[in-house]
Amino acid sequence: MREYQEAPRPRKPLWPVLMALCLTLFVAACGGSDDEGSGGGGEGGSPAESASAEGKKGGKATILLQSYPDYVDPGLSYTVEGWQTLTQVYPGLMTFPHKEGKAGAEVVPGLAAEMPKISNGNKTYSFTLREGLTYSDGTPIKASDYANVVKRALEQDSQGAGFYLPIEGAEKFLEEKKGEISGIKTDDAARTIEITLTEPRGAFVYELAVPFGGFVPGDTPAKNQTKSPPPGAGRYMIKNVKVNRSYTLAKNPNFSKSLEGTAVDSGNLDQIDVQIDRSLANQATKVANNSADFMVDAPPPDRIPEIKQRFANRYHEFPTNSTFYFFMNSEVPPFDDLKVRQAVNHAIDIKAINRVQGNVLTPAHTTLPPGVAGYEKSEDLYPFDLEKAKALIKEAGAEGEEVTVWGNPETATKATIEYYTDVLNQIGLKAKSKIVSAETYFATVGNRDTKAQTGWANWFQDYPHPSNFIDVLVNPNKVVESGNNNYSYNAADKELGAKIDKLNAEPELTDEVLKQWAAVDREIQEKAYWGMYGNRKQVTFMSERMDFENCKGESVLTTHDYSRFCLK
Amino acid sequence: MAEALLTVEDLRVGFETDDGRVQAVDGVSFELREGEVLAIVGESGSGKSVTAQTIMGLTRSPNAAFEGRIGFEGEDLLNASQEQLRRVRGNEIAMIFQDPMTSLHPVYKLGWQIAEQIQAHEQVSKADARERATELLRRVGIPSPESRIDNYPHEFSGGMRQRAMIAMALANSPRILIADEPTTALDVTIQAQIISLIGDLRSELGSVILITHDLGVVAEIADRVLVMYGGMVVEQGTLEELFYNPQHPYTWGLLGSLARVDGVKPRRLPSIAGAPPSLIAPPKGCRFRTRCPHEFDRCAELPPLAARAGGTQIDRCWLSPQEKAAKRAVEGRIGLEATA
Amino acid sequence: MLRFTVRRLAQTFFVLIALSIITFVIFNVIPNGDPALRLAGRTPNPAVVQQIREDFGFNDPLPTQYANLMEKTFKGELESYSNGTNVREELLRGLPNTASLVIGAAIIWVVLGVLFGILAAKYAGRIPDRLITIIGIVGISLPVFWVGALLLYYLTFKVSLFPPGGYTPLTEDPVQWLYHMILPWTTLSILFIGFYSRLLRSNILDTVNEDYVRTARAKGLSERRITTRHVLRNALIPIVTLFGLDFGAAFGGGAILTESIFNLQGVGQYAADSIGTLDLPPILGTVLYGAFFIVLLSALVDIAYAFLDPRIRLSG
Repeated sequence: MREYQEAPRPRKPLWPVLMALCLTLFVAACGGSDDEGSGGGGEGGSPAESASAEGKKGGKATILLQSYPDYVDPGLSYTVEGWQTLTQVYPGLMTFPHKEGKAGAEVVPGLAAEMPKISNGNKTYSFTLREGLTYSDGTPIKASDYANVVKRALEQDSQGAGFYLPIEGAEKFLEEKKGEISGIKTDDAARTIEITLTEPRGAFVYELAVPFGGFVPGDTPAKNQTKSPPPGAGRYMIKNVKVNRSYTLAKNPNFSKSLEGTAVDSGNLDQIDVQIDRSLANQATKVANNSADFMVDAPPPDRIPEIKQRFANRYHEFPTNSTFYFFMNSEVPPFDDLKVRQAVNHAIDIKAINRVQGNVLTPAHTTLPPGVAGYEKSEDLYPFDLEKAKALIKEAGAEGEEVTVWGNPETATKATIEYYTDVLNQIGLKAKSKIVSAETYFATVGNRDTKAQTGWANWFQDYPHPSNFIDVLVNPNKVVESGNNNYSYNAADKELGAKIDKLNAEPELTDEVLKQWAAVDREIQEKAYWGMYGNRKQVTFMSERMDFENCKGESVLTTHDYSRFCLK
Repeated sequence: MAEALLTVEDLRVGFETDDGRVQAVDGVSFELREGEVLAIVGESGSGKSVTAQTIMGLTRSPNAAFEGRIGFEGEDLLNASQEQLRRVRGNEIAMIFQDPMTSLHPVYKLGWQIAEQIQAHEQVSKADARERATELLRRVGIPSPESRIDNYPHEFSGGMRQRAMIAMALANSPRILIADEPTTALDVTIQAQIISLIGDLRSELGSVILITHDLGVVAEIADRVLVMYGGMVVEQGTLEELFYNPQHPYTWGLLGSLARVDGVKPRRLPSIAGAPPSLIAPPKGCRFRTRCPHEFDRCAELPPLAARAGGTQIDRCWLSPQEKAAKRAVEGRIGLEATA
Repeated sequence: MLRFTVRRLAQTFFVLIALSIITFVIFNVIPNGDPALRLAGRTPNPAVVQQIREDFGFNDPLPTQYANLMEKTFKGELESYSNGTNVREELLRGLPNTASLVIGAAIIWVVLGVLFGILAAKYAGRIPDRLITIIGIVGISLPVFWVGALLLYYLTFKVSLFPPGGYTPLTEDPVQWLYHMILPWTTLSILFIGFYSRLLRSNILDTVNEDYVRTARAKGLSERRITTRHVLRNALIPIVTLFGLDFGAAFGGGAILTESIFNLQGVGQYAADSIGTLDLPPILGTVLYGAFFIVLLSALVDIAYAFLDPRIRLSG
């Protein structure tokens, strides 16, 4: 998913920018040492594999969120915060193991007894539920519950509805909002579920594993359940909901026996109290003085030097599965010329951008981040070389071409865009920046008519499947008139489109398939559709009560995995 | 001769301003006797209001300087403590001001304001105070006082307001009433009413100091008159003495500028040429000399107040009584100079 | 009085209608990034976007959309586009928090503002006056968010004297409630104390020169009585009216900065967040709520004014 700093699902309103500005005046004097990359613990390309993933069981902890999850309803939520909670409560047919690193990105059976049987030209998936499954209130889980899960999403025009449209009959249901979905056949007695797609789609098992696929009782209405979330089958259940204030995750007393020892069974703490605190600075204060145990977001950039220094033994930076890049619209000049795009790639100094953004990035030059399957380490095709960039611009005859660079007012974004604009001017283009409000930014550049030439972009994974990056962001066949995520507008590249579509249909991520994805990544780099520069780092900052050594709970899937926290 | 109720001895009042020291009152002495109406006459800036207000200590401020003595009932009011002054104000000496609209508090009912005065000096119940207030309003000629005591000042006409102020001043039966230009803000017919009222109340009022620049008013009720100019007294005498035998050219000018119904109608109303002197840097010698058509070399020396005409009348002019008698006859009446 | 009330009620109604129209128009005129797209999320599927347009009525003509919105508002069924929460419920939930902040701060700023104003006037031109004037000007000039950020940094992070923001309901734990409110109260009232003390100072200095004060002194009243009953009685009138409007604005969600900085989860913060997300229903809700309070308070102020100054007639 995309991380909108300020919209449309902003987790931070305007004022923290002001606050940060002011605090900077003070803290700048105090902790201004320029840290080039040493965090409190290890850092590097992937989250550290710790020696013991098991931690002490039991106890309570308090976690701070900056804003209440968009929805506490598996059929509706589409934010990291929402998913951090929902993955503990609503497992689906498939699930992701609660493990560190790449192991946590492998999709495995959840409520299903085993991996699905795929037939009918890779279009039909057959599942059998485990025996004796119950929800946290003791109600038995029925196969037919799955149909309701899908219907709820479609009936409410949920943001996850798109995940289900590949199912036969789903589009019809989306429009009519009544009846049954022809592609879903269930048998409660046999505990079987058969899902038929309109065409093959390899990412589908992954999509079954995200919270949109989380099971809820069949009578759960197609309405936002945030105020009183339904029971789920996960290790934890949700209690004491005070909307916009707090809620509690407590151990599920009716956790199904057949789920014990499976990937769903993960949880050290007995109880987790989730509280909302709008101010990251205040959150940092609370974690620092141990009145709260964990903050989901990173502390504000101007507090980080002080925190790194004072609390080095409970502060750690790690990379997330995200890519930060400048898009280049290959449908309009001058970026319709490959040489120009290559020039831009040579011109951007990845280290410089990282400094501008406050050292929150790990440098990157591939489409896929290191934690996503299909990633392959490679040589940077475009090392930083301003002279080469200038030469390429001359060769392309693009000197003096006017370029508008798009961005939004979010601090790091604006600064980065200013840098980028400056660089484009240095290599011979005539660039000026255009900052539009964060709320409208993506809709604007995602509108084909805008003809946005180049600008800011980033993407955080929905699930660790390569199509979630490449198909969503660069597939030529996915270019539409509005609501685009593919700002390269490379609709003309039919060859690449065909390759990606073919890979999308692959049901399994075999080594062979992964190599092909890596090749596509390489091709995207060669065609320089993007000027990518980094993967975002996240922060683990905990109170002294928490066992920082053994239970950091870092996750490639949801950034933080509450079930893997534990006390000392 | 009746006792002196109030004695003002060589009073000087100066104010520090950014432009220098303004000497508003520069050596004023007089007596007020029991039962008499003393009028103090002069133009704006002559120091008459400051003199009157200083008697009550109303001019005290961080940038004011006082010299002299104000004797009242054995005390020196000029140097009295706040507590002493408070006892005297409204109680022994009361004052009414020029503009009754602004001098009355706009948001309190009239009865309340009068009762406040009463209760400040006497231990009476609210009900009693209210009763008395009603009676006072009746006494000053306000119709239906029972309902009018619950009216606000802005619900009264100008003349009524001034009557009300007088009522308020009388509330504690003070021995002296100081009236600072009580009729200036009123139109002529109302003026007459108020003056007549003051005349009616003389027996209840005790002594009155009436500040005014209107000689017509003076003629109506004053017993004695004090003429002030440039912060000093320039002439003092009984009503008859002043009107029929005025000794100072300034007084002649005042009298000469009165419009009279009888006699020849002058072509233009006479006025005194020139402007009042600056009180920051007053001229040397007689302060009136720059405007006086009769000034001569001796005027360079400030004339002392003296009884030159014989009797109790005193003035501050070097001219001899004979010269004065001659010079003041202008076109068949008393005046300063001939109209052109 | 009855006529006045009726007219004011009618005025209020029209003001609120006008505001709702203006808000609606602004929202639809500014580049708002197509609410349907935003509702559809990060991977907007064209079919889903289309459905959203139909289901939420974004394809309807604007007057129809407006009418639907207003109907929902009156029924109390207005729901956020961002997360489906009911706007009225959220407003009610935030109300006690805002009330705690504003009422507490109001008491402080009135008491201190009046006190300092009186002192400054009493010692006009001398050291206490100059001191109070400086404090007042500083108070007016300090941006609220800066003061708040400062206090938070030094008194909660560097030194753990106060809790870093947050709100504990009074009914839950009065001591904690107080403990949490001290910094927000300080932050919000500093600005007003400066304002009010300066205003009162100049009012008092004007009033003491009025003729009726001279009369009061001539009546032989004690200085104390003159100060309270005659001088302050008049000098405070503009303060009372100003207070009414300030209070109304703050209560109506105007204390946005203070609430946000201290995470008080009040109406102001709710307004700020909704503006940040360009979420029309809560924006509409908070605008109407705020306007209602301001109009109400200004009517009360007018009534109070007429009560305090009998020269003023309540114009119907």
